[in-house]
Amino acid sequence: MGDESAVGLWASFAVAPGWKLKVIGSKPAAAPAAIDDERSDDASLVTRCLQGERDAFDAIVERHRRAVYQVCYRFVNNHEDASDLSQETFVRAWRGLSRFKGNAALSTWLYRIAVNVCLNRVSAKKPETEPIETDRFVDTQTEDPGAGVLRDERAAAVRRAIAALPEKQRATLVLRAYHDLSHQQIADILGSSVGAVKANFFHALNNLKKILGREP
Amino acid sequence: MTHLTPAELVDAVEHTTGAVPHSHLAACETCRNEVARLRDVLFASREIEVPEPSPLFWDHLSSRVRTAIADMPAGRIPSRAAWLQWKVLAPLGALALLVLVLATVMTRGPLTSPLEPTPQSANYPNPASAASGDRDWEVVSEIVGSVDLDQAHEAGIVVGPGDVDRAALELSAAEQQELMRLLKTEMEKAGG
Repeated sequence: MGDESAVGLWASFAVAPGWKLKVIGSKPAAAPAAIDDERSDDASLVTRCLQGERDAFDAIVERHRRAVYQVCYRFVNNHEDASDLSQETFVRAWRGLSRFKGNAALSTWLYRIAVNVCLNRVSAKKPETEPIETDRFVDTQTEDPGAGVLRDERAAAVRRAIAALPEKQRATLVLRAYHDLSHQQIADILGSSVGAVKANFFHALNNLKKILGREP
Repeated sequence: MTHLTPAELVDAVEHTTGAVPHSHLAACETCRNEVARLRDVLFASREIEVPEPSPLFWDHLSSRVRTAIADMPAGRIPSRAAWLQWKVLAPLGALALLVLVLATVMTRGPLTSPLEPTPQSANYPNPASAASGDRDWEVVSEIVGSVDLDQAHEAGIVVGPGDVDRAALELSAAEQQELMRLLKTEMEKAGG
């Protein structure tokens, strides 16, 4: 996968007031051996599931539930729907487990199911773009309350902007920006090409900027 | 000057730019500004975190999944041959049988009961006695005289749809004329 190098080079940023960016380092990628171990563990769990061991599927759920929940939450921006969508994702995975060929990582396959479940949901129902969890605890000892409020307002605006993106752009942004999937993995999940994923990512960022520019 | 494509701009934002776009960025302020602008937006979006649910939530989610799976009709992992289950095969079999019956009926024409002879067939004379004066019929009746329909059927002598038409087409002109003559003679005898 020629695009995998992007994962290791994914930079993390620190921002100073006034939106100036400063690159402070690279996000460490998971060691290849660890990834292999994880994949072989997943493969053996799938095999055990197909042999009728129900506990093995519990282990799969336990291992991937956080990542699946977070993908779902990024789409719907509220805990209740994210919880329902996570459950639906795992139930669909259970139904389709015999079709999992093991060509991709189990996590990628679960992401694909989660994205499809979420896209179906958001197509059928407009999500609430204002989450109930936006009220964050502000430590008045160390943080200026005014800055905290501004930050929360900014976060809410970004959430609204992401929710307003076209579906594929939103899915690309979520998988790339928050889950560090490579362009190739995203292309596999969305059934498109690496070029299309990059184009979607570009348009997602571009549209996000426009939407945020219109925010009061 | 040709500016960077969207894919090249994304590579630049992610610091995976190739040599050519890199040299372009060094020379093009427009593209540099575009990359900086995209990085700002990316950073803003990456700041948004998913609130951590209650620690009890994860076990609750696992429990919900377990219950939902247990409530599924089969309650077990669908096997690769799930489509071969009787619930699928029974309707398919019934449909195939229906199609077969319809095809047979439409090919053979309207069904008549073999137990109820038509008026014409009831009036037909015994072919063996009717042909007694004919040398060819004598040969035929000598061969088949003691064979009834059931025995013929068991022997595989079955007239299928279109067999008579095909046999008639294979006759020579002289044989067709002779067949016509025999049929007319038999019909005249039957008509009285």
